[in-house]
Amino acid sequence: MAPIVIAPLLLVFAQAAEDAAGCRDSALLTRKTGCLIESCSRKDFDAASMLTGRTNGNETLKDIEGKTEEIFYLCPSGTSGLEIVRNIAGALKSAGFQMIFEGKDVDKEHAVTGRKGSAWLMARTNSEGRYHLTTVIEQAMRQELAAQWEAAIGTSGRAVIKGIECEIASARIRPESEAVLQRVAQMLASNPSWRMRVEGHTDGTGSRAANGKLSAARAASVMAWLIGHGIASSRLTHEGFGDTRPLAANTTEAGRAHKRRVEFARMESTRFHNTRKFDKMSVVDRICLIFVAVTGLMAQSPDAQFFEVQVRPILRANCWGCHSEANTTSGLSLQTRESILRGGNRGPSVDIILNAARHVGDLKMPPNKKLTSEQVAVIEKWAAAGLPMPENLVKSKRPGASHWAFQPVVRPGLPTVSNAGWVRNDIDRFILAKMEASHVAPSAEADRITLLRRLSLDLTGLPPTVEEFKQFVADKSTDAYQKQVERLLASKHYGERWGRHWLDIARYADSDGYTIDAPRDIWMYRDWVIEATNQDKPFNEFVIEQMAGDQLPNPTVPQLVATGFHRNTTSNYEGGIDFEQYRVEAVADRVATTGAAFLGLTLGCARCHDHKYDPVSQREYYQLFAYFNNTDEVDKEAERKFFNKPFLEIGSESEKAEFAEWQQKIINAEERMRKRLETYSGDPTKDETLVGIEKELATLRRNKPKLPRTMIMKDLAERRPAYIHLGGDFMRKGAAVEPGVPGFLPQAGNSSGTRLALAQWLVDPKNPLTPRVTVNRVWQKYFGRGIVDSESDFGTQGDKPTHPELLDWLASEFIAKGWSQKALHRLIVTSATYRQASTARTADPENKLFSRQNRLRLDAEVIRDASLVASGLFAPKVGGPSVYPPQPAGVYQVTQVRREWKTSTGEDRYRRGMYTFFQRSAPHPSLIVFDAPDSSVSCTRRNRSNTPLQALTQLNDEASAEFAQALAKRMTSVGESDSARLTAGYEIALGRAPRADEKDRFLRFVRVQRDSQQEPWVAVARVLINLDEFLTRP
Amino acid sequence: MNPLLQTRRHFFRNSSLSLAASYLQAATRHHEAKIDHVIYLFQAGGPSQLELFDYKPELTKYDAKTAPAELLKGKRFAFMDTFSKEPPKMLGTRRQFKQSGNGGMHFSDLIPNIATVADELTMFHGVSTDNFNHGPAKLFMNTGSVRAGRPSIGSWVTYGLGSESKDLPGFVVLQSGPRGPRSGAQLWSSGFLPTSYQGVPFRSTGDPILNLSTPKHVTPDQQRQTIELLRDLNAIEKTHTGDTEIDTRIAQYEMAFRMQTSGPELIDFGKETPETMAMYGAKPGAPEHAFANNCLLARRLVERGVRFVQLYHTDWDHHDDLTKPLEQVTREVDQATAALIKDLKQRGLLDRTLVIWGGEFGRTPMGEVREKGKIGRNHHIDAYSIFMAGGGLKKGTIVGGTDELGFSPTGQPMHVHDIQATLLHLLGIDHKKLTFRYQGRDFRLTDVAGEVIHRALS
Repeated sequence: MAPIVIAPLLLVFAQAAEDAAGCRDSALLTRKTGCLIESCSRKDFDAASMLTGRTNGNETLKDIEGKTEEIFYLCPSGTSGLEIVRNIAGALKSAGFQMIFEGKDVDKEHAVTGRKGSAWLMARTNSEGRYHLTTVIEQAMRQELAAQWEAAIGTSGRAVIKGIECEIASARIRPESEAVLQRVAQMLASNPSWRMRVEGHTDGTGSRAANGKLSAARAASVMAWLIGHGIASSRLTHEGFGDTRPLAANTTEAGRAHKRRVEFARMESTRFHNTRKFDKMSVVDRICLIFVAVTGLMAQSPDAQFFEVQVRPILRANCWGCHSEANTTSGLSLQTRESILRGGNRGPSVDIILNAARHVGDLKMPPNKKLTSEQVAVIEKWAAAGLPMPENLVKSKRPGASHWAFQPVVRPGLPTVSNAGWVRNDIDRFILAKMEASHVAPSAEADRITLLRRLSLDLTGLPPTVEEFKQFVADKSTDAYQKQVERLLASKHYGERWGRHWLDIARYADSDGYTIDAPRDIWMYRDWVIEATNQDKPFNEFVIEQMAGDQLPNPTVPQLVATGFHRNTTSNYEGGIDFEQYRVEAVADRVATTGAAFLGLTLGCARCHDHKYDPVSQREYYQLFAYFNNTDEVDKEAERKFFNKPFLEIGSESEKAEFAEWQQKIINAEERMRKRLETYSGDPTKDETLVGIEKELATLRRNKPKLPRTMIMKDLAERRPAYIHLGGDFMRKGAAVEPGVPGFLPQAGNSSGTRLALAQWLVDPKNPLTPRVTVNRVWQKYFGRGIVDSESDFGTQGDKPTHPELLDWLASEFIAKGWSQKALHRLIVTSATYRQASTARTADPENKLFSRQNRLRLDAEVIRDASLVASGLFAPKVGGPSVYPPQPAGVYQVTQVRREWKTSTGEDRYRRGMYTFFQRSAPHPSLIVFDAPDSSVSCTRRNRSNTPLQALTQLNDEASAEFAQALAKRMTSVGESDSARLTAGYEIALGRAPRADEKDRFLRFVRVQRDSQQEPWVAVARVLINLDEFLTRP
Repeated sequence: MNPLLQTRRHFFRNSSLSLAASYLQAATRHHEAKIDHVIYLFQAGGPSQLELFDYKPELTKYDAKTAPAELLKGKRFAFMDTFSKEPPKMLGTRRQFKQSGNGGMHFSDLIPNIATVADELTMFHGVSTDNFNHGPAKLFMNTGSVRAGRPSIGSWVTYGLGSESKDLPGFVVLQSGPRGPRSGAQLWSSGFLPTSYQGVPFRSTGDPILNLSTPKHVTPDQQRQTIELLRDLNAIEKTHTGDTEIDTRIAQYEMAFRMQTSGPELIDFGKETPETMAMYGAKPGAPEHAFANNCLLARRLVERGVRFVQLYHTDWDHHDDLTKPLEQVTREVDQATAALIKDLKQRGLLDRTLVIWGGEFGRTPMGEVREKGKIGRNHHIDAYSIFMAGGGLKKGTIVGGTDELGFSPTGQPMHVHDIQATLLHLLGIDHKKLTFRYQGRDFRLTDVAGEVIHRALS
């Protein structure tokens, strides 16, 4: 681009005083005498609308882009608008401007627009002696500018970048220079192998020392700006040279201006190459200057030169915006030879790229533009030569790869604290150090009743019994609390509580979902989770067995049952579906669940396109997809009768044989019916054969033999080919992919491409995400908030950890203790941090420092469990098929296929909430009302809402009424005294005696009930199980 | 992130959410709202637009001719096997059509009552959707996604706007017909939004809301005393813990009590005039009048400030017969639909209410024979019809159209996400701005698509 220098026009008017600060006349035109500048703005690159014509009520405007300025003048009263504009028009004409417009605008104000080459000038009067001047020095698009800089670097090793101005005698960069700096930053970003030195230079005015200082400061401020805009500081350095490397004499202002500059020099590792001589510099009229000088270019082989001079500018200007290593739209990067040969989501073919460039076929690139035939010829020549290009063009991975969560877990040292007496274990050091830094003291330890209630609800999901409370309060030994921790960790109910947390993630339910929503056989998986948790199966094995138990050598029955984890996907058996579509949906759900459960990554975002924020490409998504793509599930209509396969049949040999025989009979009968229908043309209801077969089938179906079975994972002998689904559409198959893990994470040691390989990778100690995500989620259950608040998103859009060192310490401790979950629980619940009171305080009101505990409303199932325990009805049985406690009539009114809810009797009526049969299309209302997840997708955190429907449920539901009656019986059994009965109720429900004011209020209620001939104790019991304290973990 | 947003987000994730809180929540409208309430008459199963509104005389000419291969090329249908065994034949309607109103709309003899309110309607022909199976397509229409787990349209609206009702939920679901809609509660789920925005199903028998009645032995006085006692005891607990969540719990119990008193009044049609009852064809307790009863209940809900009322009526899935079963369901629906629109209008409520009528997809111009001597239509996702009535719309106007066979849309296409965007637009919500961050992504009802159908707006 040629430099634009317009000599000042005739000095029509003389200078005035008292302008708005920082404003000055345009270089193109000075002002009318006596007028002042009210305001002004200058932009280094912007668009301005120039008036080019007027028709009746409409103005024709033309947007001109370039360096713009707008100056508003106020002239002495009596100055005529016409006079101002006539004068300006005259000046423009005599300076050789072409007149574009002269006359009145739609507001009847005077206006004039002129143009000379790339310079545009418009003046318009405003009311009452005001006018404003708009000038534009038209410039090519910034995009092209940047391409020119890069091309220049490619050919000559340097380019001149104009437009970065500093304030006089200052290192402050003028705001209008930011547009240019933005482009420099972008250029550096797209050439990540360049390391640059920013050099400051001044003119010869002033002392040598001062000049050295100023030039260094300028270089530093340019460097700081670039770092602040995303350029890694490791790539930049700066130095001030003062006037030691003059480019021009110091005798004229032009020469001095020429010398004040910032230079950029590319460095090869640590060795600094001297910049070339700047003898061919353009005339420069800026206060500071940037040269980009690149030395040490690759060897100037003819191939390299061809690439640099001809190919690169085309790619830079037309392709890399969407197809770079940083932005692989459609999975395609055109920045490395390897990535071009690998191709994008459409497959590995250079022809696809060439045809797109030629505009042959459906795909035409670049979009909305066609390369010239010369440009296409260059690309073709380059392809024919084998795509020669420098290997070090791009070195870095996709952005985001440097994100904290993706870095290895490093065990931090323990921080020192002043109040060491508070510390019970190492967790407390991290928590206290941050509190001390914020001058917040920890809360006092909670009282024993609160502690035991909290601990028991957290570890087993059950409140303590009256005896347990009494025992703990009476235990004066120093390890009284520790004993409770061990008792509860050893309880069989511990596995139920922590198993249920895991079942949220596993999206466990007892029915298929979608339309038919039939019951399914998978409760054995639920029991496996409880059992494995109770046994404290190390978390790495826990994961491997669920992900790929079937691929372990000689898998045991429990290891096969464990693979039900990824069979908890919903399945659709509606008539008329394409089974493949729903199989693909299930596989996609497995990818998403794996991401949320272990990696804290929102992998689902990369199903239709590359992840917008995290370095997961669409290709990588389908590489993960490929791990799960081989299950022997129903994928075609012909297999409908095998729905929900594969199963593990857990029955005796004779049971299995009986079942197989029954299944074969059904298949045979259906086959006979199909054949008969093909040949028979009359009314089928009148055909004896058909009617006979139908009866036979009905009888067969009624008499289905019982065969315990559970859904499991089992792969096909031959792998299903996996493809990238273009736009996420399973019908549009792109390039074939092989199983693989995302490139920005440590790679899998086992490259077999099996689910086992993926599982082993997930729990490889080198994988930084699984341990971090897991310990964070456990922490979240104990405090209501994770160390990372966004527990399912550890990506670049997620929240940062409030205590990053603690997170890594816990993660490394988790691995060091053999992935023992019980050890992790023990560690957390024995900390002083956990044992704090939950009373609200003014210091740290949001509890960001964990300077107190949080009160947490109980989970849906636990509300039922706590009520069962209080009522004395609780049935402690663990495991077994799901049960049917009372449910309000009409819940199944809304299901497509009417289901029958056969209310359980005996102990099954009083089982824990987690055993309630979960029908996806109509879950038990008391579960959903209290925010149990709907089990469609993996749930890593439950909401905790507070609604009137909850009040109605706990007050009025049939089950609550039964609980209240049973609790009342327990209270009245202690004797006749109202006071004793009430105290008994409080101790049963809350573990404590009522306070005096509570007792007074309650006894008043009892009297009112008696006065109105009501039996008071059921009503009292009803109140107790509705108290906020009863519904809350303290 | 904006600290206020952060607070709001944290607030939503962790607690203090309630119908009362959503009542108090300032309406966050992005532009002037044309309507305040929605009554969505969801016709589950896929009503045949070709037997109701989309009059295609040309199709009748091709009746019984084999569908041209190029018409079906690249198209996917449910029950592919029936269509692939033997090329399907075109099917002209057997119904009589008449024009009604000033806009030239056609209505078949199955829906004479709806025809009388033609000048209140905005008819959309040629709407397309993504999935040809009932469950997923219903999820798509209601949540913008074919998979369960996203919030439903009523949840989004109450999340965005709150409710005007102090003693009723903001989003109410009513159900009629021989069975529940496929996908069930997932259709009105709040997904990852707080459960306070979930649709609350009102029942046609027993309590309108689950557990609205107190247990048998509890008198209304005792219930009031119970709530007062809970209030006082919880207030004491607040003084010891300082937990503001307790205030919310107190408020929730008080609102529950108000719901208990207003609920019975709501479902008591005793004060409705005989004329009104006759106009709807309502008859409390009679299952064959369930849709009519629900239409009347919908009006009463809107009168009491409920934001979003959704009626599901099954079953419109006429694969094998377009005569008696279709006549039955239109008989159940036609009169009450028209009555609801007239009634809202005469009460001055139609200006601020949107009535929307339609299913998850339409039916093919090709016939489907499953049983000898009978003929029905398969699911069709490329071009179906829905209609709306209410504020902000061009009344008596047809928007869009279909080709002469009724197979494909003509003119600018209209997709389910566009219908959703338009509905939100009428409520003053920009569908691109009503988002909720979940597992690292900002979700919205219209996913990544949706354009407001401006040509339907007045």
